[in-house]
Parts: sequence; structure tokens; C-alpha cells
Amino acid sequence: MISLLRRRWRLVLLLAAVPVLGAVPAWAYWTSTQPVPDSTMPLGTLDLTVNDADPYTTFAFPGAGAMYPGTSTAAVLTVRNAGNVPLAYYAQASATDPLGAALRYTVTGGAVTGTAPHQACGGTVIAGPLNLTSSPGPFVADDTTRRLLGVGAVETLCVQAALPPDAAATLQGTTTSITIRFYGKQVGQP
Amino acid sequence: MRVPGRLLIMLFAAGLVGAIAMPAWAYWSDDVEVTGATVTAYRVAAPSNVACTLTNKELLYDYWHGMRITATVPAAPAGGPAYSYSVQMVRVSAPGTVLWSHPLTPSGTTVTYNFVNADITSDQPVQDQTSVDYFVRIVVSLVSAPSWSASGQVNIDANNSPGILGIIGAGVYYGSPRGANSPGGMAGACARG
Repeated sequence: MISLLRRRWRLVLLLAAVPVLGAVPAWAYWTSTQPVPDSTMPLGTLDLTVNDADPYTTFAFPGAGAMYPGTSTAAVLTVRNAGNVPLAYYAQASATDPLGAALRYTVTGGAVTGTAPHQACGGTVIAGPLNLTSSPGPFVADDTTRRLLGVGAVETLCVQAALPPDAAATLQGTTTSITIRFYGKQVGQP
Repeated sequence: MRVPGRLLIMLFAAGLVGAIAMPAWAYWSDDVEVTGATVTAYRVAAPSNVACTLTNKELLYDYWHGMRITATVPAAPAGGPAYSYSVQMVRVSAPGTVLWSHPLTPSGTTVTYNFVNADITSDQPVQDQTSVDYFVRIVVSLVSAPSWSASGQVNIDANNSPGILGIIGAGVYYGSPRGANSPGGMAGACARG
């Protein structure tokens, strides 16, 4: 009898010990943490601006309100790499209305010379003379001949629009709007 | 371990899709749009209300002079302005009232017209009235823009020719010619109103 009781007690003790053993905690392993101060991982910035703006919505040709054959107007755009990654850029442009197509555009790396309505662009010719259409077309370089612009570099573009001497009389009183889009891309981008 | 062929194909396809979709965004770019630039072409002031008169108001032996008007406005030169014109007959004493007019005619086309009694039916001289004077004028309208260097002169060639047009009553007759005759142009007789 006593022997039977002892066996039962052993069984009870054994059953009681199983959950205790199964619940053996992870804290049985030692751990240690050490705080590290906040830090930032610097990333590059590719930032192209024109006249220090993006977009630039106030481009204007001085004295362009009364063009007639043989006259021209010019204005300067400043293209800047405002980021910290070297970039290369090109530009496309479009112009509305027949007047926009009749104008002849030239881009140089110089400054505006003369006074309205006979302004011109001095310096080395970068593009043109060329015509524009209502669809964006090549203006400065193209996607395969992008112009390099190092970090912080600035390039001055003088844009000249001239109305040829043989411009049609039907252009009188018409107006055109010119849109230029600069595409800046990371150097090495295919 | 043996990998089923179908699984291999699926893995290959997934890799291929991933490779194709390998993003261009791996490169950075930034676009800038420049707007606001407009250019406007000058408009040459258009001549308006250009009118030339051709008078036929002389009285000869109580006969009214018949009138035949022949007018031509030269065709526009290439790239130049185009005009249309109208021939009108008015009473001298009431030039603002058009008694008769020819439809607008393109420049370069000649208008020739013999005025007939019916043209002035509404303006018959009354009995005992000895004369009513009429004149013909040519009004030129601008159709297209003048050339950039337009001089503003419109050359009109017009002349009167005779024609006995008939008796219109009260002993008043249209008679033989005595009207102004201006072949070769009337630039000097034209004015802008």
C-alpha cells in the first residue's frame, strides 16, 4: 500500500515538474544592449534649376511686344546644378502659333547685346539658328549629347528669337508662347 | 534534391521579369520647365474707309449725263495686302445715302456698270426740279493684313463713260457724257474717312 502511494506521488511530482521544465525561460541566456547615438546617412541630391527656380515661370523677352521683320529679342537663362551630384542636361522647346514657327532661335553662351527691337546674343553659338514647332523639339543638345554640369556649376544660355526679313504679313498682330524644358540626368545614366 | 521543371521555368520567368523591370529610377533625374516667354508681332495699321469719288454732275442742255463706271483696284502683290471694294452711287447732296451699290468685289477684278433708270428710281427728280447731282464713289475695304512695309496707297483706276439711259419723265433726260474721266488712277482723289 505504501509502495503504491509512493509510486503515485512520484507520478504526480513528475507531472508537475514537466510544465515547470517546459517553461524554462529564455532569460537563461545572457543579453546585453548598448545604446548608439542617432546618426544620419547622407544621400546625394540631384537638383537642376533655371534662374534659381524649378519650374521657372517668368521667363520673358524684353521688347518682344512688337516684333516685325528684321527685329530680334534676347534673354538669358542661367542653368545651375544646385545639387551635390554631377549631372548632364539637354533642353527641348516648343512654340505655339505660326509666329512661333516663323521665329528663328539661336542659343549662345554669351550675353545680350544691343537694344530692343534689335537685341542679339553674343558669344559662342551653342544651338541654332533653328525653328520650333508646337511639339517639343531639340533646343540645346539632346539626350545623347548632354551638357555636363558639375556640382555647383552654372551655365549661362542666351536665347535669341529673330523674325526673318521675309516673314509673312499674315503674322501681324499674332502672339506665340515659348516653352523650354530642361532635362537634368545623373552622369552615366544611359 | 530534384527540382521540378515547371518550377524552374517559373523561377526563370520571374527572374526575367525582374531583370526587364530593372528600374531606370536607379538613376536620378530632375526636369525644369521654363515658361512665360511670349513674342508678339507688330500689326501694321490697316487703312480703313478709303473712298474715291468720281463725279458726274454736270448739266448739259437739260440732259442728265448718263454714267458708266469702270473701276479696278489692283490685285494684291504676293505677301501684300488684299482689298475688296464696292462701287456706290450717292446723291451729291446726301452722300451718306447709298442709292446703289455693287457687291464687294475682290481687288484685281474690274467692275463695269451702266447705271440705268431703275437705279435711281427711288430718287427721281421732282417736277420742275432742274437737276439732281449724283456721284459715284468707290469704297475700298481691307481683306487681309497689309504688308509690313505698306505704303498705304491704293491705286484705283476708274472712269466715266457716256450712255443715254432713257427718259425718266418730267422732261428730264439722261444724256451725253460730261462726267469726270480719270483713267490711270485716282490716288489723289482718295481719302481715308
